[in-house]
Amino acid sequence: MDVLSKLGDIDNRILYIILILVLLIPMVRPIGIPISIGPWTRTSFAVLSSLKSGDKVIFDFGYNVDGAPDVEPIAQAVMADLFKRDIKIICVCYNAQGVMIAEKLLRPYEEQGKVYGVDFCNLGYVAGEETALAAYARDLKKTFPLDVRGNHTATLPILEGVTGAPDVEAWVFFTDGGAEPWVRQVGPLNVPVIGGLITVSAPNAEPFVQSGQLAGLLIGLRGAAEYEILTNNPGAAVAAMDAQSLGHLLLILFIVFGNIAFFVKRSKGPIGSKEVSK
Amino acid sequence: MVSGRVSGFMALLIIFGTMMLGIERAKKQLPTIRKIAGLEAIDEAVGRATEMGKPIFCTPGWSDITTSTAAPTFAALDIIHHVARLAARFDTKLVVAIAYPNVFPLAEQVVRQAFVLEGKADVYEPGTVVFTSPEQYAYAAACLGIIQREKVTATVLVGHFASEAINFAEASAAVGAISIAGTESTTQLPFFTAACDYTMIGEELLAAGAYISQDPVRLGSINGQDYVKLFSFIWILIGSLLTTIGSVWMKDILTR
Amino acid sequence: MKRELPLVITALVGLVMIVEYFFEIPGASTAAKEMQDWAIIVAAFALAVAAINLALTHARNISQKRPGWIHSVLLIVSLIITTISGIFLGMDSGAFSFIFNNIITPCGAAFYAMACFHLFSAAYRAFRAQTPQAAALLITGVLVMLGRAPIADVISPHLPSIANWLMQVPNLAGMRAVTISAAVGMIGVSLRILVGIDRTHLGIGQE
Repeated sequence: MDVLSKLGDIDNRILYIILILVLLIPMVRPIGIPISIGPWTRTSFAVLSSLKSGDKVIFDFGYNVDGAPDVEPIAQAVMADLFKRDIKIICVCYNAQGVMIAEKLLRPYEEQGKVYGVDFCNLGYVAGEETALAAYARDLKKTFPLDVRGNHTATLPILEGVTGAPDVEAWVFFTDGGAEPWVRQVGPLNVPVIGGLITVSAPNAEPFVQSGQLAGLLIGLRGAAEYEILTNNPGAAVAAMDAQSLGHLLLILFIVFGNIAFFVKRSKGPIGSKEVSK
Repeated sequence: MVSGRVSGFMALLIIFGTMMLGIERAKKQLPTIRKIAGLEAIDEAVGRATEMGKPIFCTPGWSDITTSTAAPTFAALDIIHHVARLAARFDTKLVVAIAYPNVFPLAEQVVRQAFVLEGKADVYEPGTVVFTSPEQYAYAAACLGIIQREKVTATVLVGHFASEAINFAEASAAVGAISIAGTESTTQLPFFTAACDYTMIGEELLAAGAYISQDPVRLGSINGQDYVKLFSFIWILIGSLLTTIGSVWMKDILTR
Repeated sequence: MKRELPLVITALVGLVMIVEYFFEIPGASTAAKEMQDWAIIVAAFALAVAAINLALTHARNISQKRPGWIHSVLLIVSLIITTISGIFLGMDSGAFSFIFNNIITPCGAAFYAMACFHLFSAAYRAFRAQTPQAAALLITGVLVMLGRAPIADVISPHLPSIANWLMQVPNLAGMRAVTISAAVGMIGVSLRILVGIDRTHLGIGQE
């Protein structure tokens, strides 16, 4: 009984060490837990897989490096798929860090032979968040007269015939915030809008897909893993899924331990002041 | 009018009108607001800090005053003003951490004014309000460092937060501090509710200024807002019924 | 005048922005855009003020050799190096890229990952079924956690559906209610600031 009541008082440091081991081991020795594909990823994949070689897609980078672990795998998975099918990508940045993030993601493809200005470009960032988004969603060249490499955007071959959102085949944004700015500014412009979001923002964004204001959602690391599976390109996101599953199970196990200890202590006597209900 | 914004303008007029009505009624009879546990707990938190001789930590969240999350920041500054007045009254050390440069001069002014009102202008230290960084996790790291180094006895985490919320709540728990949180951010409310001692949910944070001041005009405007919520509830009910029977009238009205 | 002027400016600017948003009035867009540009300029100056405050605070720590003063040295050196490399060498220079890719990015990611550990200890500490409401929170939380992980399909094919239903029906209903009331509250706060009822932030607080 003493052991049971101590289950609720495990030191945080021991918890953290166990958690680290549980997360690390399946990344080194994958278990291969099957991953089902969710409806939002299927919807997004349906939109993106209908694109043809030569079509143009806008990638809007709106996350900071802090949120990158959850949303960057989505950007990587979608970028890999689109470049593989010779779809052109026009990058714009909702926030300042997006510029460097976009350059970092694009560099390997440039080294593999993709041509800047023809296959892809990075138009950069302009201050103003949603105000700026409203401007560049309607007129890219006017909002970005120069790209990040100093080229005049009016002369870039990839932007020929492209003024704003209605002239591209899809707009994919990646953010660690909410989807609302893109729903408000890009949604009404007659272009399929797909959002790559962190897991915590997903519940707020799901109604927009239900109402048709967003064409699809890719949610967190799980969304990236599902997209990798659908595109037959398993990568880092798929590799992390075993760790995610075991991490969830471990958390539930320790919650159960805590409750066992709580009920054992309660059966012994009055509750202490720290355990007042919320 | 700009197309697609007529219903928004109508809503704004209705909200403004009911607020003004609420204010007029409040001048005749002061409305009551139910107890908000988080705000009531501030006195207890300051008292505990005074007894133990340790500081109180406050932050108005990770938000600027030029974005859509400006309102919670202003509401948070109201609460920080109240905490600062109590801290000045009882000579308790206070640390206020600010993320955005725009908020920094306002916070300094708010805290300094609190000390002046308590007759303790000479006691106010320039290092009370600390600018950290607009970078989310640089701000979080700075706040965690302050909480852990200073071994604060109370943390007041009010305003708009992103994923650093759980870090602050746990850091408070780790040093044994009372944590009073409040946010309008629905993504962070679950973390605060689970990990903090007191949590102000959504509008409780935004009504804080009126609650603390008990000013009839501010209380009246809160009272007026309640009628707006009642109106919204009825509107949602009617809209749900109409949409269920296949009518698009409500959708047309709201998208005009 | 010192009290009234900020209130008048607040009200006027607010009125211009509201009018510009809802009405197509010639000149209103230009005025609003101009004010937005001013706000960006003011923010830049506020950044300078805040950065100076930061430097002075840490310089004070160093001069008075307060505990942890060596960290203040580190902060000031980092601030100077990053500022110089960003402004004079450019964002695409090797130095700035190195700082961004090898220091800022991994530190930010590490801190984001810390949330996982804090969440773990918070859930372990706080998720106790002390009351029926707490028990309901606990059970739904466990169901959603299980249902959202890939292992849900191995345990039961119904788990993902249960988790989705919990998130999309009761959870979404609650979140929408909080969002609507918070939105009304935010409009209320904003209007009170614009008409000068709420003035604490201007230092014209309660007497």
